[in-house]
Amino acid sequence: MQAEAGYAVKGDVRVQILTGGEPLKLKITSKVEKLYGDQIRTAAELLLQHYGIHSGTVIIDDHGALELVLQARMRSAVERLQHLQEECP
Amino acid sequence: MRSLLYCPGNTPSMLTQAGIYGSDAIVFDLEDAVAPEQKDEARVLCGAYLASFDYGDTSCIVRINGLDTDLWLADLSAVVPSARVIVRIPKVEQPRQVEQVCEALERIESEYALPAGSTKLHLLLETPQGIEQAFVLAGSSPRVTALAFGAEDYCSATGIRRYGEPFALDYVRSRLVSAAGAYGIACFDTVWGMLSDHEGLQREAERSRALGCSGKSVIHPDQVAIVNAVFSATIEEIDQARRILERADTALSQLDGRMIDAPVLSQARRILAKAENGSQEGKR
Amino acid sequence: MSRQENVLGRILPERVGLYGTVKPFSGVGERIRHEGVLPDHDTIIDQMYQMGKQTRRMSTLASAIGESGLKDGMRISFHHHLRLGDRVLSQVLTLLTSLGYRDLILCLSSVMGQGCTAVLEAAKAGVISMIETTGVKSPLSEAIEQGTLGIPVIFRSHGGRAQAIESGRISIDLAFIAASAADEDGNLTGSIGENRFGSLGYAMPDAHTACCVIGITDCIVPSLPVSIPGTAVDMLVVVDSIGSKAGLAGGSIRRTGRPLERLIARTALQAIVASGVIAPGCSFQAGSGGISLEVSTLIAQYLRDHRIPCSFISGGVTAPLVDMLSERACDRLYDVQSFDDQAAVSIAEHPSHIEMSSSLYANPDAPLCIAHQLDLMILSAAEVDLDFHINSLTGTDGRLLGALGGAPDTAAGALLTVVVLPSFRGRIPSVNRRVNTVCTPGSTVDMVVTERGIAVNPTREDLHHRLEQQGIALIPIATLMDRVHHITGIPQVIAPDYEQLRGIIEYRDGTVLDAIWGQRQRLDQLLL
Repeated sequence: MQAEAGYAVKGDVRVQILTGGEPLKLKITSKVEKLYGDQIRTAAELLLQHYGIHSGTVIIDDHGALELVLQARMRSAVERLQHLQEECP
Repeated sequence: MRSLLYCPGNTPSMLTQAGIYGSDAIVFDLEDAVAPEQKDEARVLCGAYLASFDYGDTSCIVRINGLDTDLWLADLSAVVPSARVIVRIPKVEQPRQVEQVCEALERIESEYALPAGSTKLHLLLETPQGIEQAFVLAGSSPRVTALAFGAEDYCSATGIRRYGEPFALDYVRSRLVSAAGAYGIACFDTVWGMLSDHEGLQREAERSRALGCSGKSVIHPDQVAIVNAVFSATIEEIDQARRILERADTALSQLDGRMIDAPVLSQARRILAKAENGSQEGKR
Repeated sequence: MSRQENVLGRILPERVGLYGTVKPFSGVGERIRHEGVLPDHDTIIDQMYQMGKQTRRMSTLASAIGESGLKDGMRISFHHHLRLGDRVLSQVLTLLTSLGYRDLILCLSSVMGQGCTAVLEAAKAGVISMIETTGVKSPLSEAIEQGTLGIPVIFRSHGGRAQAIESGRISIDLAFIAASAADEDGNLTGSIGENRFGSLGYAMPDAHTACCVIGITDCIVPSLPVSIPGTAVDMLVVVDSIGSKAGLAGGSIRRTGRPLERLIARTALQAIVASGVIAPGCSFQAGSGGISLEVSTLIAQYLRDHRIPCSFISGGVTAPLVDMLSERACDRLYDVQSFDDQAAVSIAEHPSHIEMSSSLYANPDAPLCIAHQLDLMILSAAEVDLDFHINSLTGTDGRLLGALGGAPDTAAGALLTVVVLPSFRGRIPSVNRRVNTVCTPGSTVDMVVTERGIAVNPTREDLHHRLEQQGIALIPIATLMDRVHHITGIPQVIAPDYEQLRGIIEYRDGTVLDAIWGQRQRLDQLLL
């Protein structure tokens, strides 16, 4: 099962969550990696922990999103995934 | 509020810059500016900006989805907890709709321990039914602090040709100004859609100001300065208001042949209060 | 590599192979002002008339190069007046490669578009061994960043290049000068012909001093408005095409359609007006870049609306400035490069639209240096820092993306130097603790205007006082930085690798302001 949120456009970030497979794989690419790579990784890891995601693959394609945008997109992706899981358990 | 700048609710780059153009308010749009499959993302995104982004003194308004959709309640839940929003309800026609929103707001306010009644409403009237109900709607709840006019649907429903006919919307504006005035609330004019025609915008804004509107919604940053200028008190108006208030203190009841009575005084106070507010905004 | 530190705390190499000993920057010294004598024409042109060369018509570029006496290791030069439309640089480099030349020093006024690919290929083939320029673009810029170019790059400002050439600090062996038209006597112009581009200002020091000059054109006419006289030209070659006019208004000279940029421009105008610099007889220049060109247009409009006569406008000339001259809203235009066709046409027609060499424009040694007569300079930048240093060459993340241009020269000369820039782009902040690369020293920069605040250099107490009196809200630059970082987050520091020199930044006096180093590879790379 997979869900995604956000867009690969300037100032935004595309977050994809694919369920299945342990351990959790976190793949991050970012246009601002040299300046914010560490912060993006830390923020992403905290969010995944917060949402209790410990398996599957999470792909973050960042185009210079502010941290609050990453948080929002991650939340939307998680909500969409939960929505899918409720529909077809 | 003189200018209310619409900002699409699902575009981070625009939400980040929405506060810098000098508009008195930002209207976060979850309705027409957001595609159906993006509605959930947009409300989460706007919720995030409202919760943590610094917009200074700029007022934050959220246009929620229509009450005929299954989206508006989730919209409210996403943005109201930020405790800084005014809710703009689109296509309002009946007091019952305002009640529905008020009931939802009461629940959310109590859930998030916000003061009861603290979330205010702007009613966007966009149909002949809504316009004709303006007086009732303006008084439908103490939460309602403004009526706003949306011309697109109204014009297509009535056959009014708006662009190129400056008088075409005079009736609507007068009607809304009068209804809003009855409850001492504000009245905001509709957007000007011709993005490259700044002179047209200027003329329309001047007309709606003359008809009593307190401000105007805008859809492009370049429109902000024009609308702000039209809806700000002129130096002459401010000067005259000052002189009126000075006279009031000296118990002389005339200024330049004009009788000074209570309404004139309160109008003068309003102009000065607005000017004060405007100059603070200018300093920001 | 043995290193040294200059007065700005920047780490420099002691020596660079072909470049030689690095003289560290030691401060800008006194502000030099030349006021009151505005020349009607550039005297460098008079001097070229005295050079007495006889122009020989050559049938091919190859035969001209053969005749020129060019040898491996010599310095060749080009101008960039055709901007994105230039096809001469690539033609010549391809030819030099096929003729088997090696280790040439390539001295460019700048390079963009196709030329960048040609330079990169020539460097890889060993045809060139050092590049001197004011800026670079892709794909050359990436090769420099990644360290794959393999040869040093010396960045100079326009005035610095003119100073280096005119003073004899560097000598050009062979100059290739593209002209949009020439006559049988070898007189060159840029202002008529199919591919007209206007001023030939950047090529003038080259023509004035090079051992050998080859004029290259695609249009021979009986007579023309002379930019560079045939008495300075050794050989003339007619080629099929020198370029395409469509590329002229390209590079970094677009006009802005972005609301954010227009907002910054309007804010800058208010502050500039409040500073009092806009007065009868004033002069100004705007650098390339959307925001500064917008400010220039707004100033022109302001002068017109308020009927304030302007003594001169200099620099890159655009159509709105030509209109100013036509309406007599300004007395003179000093044109070192023409940014659009209207400017290119006007330079031939208006006596007060004066073609100026890069030397008259910005050479600190030039007696009437126009940059030193400016009242107001508006500059774009990639980044500024708490010391008001400007970085216009590398981004906050170290990417090479711009040019020095005339910024260091005009900032040093103008009474008021204003930097206009968005406080961040995407997520990348442009107000930072320490710029990646110092291009223009902060001591020559007076004011920074962004959409999130205006900061005045603390050394300009007078300006600060005046602006506050006029109701312009100012904030300390550190507050501005904090405001920006609050939105973007504080960027990571990129660690330089002092073993990997990419290029050096010369100040206009020949000392070195800064060096571009490779970036240290991080072990915990984010990208998997």
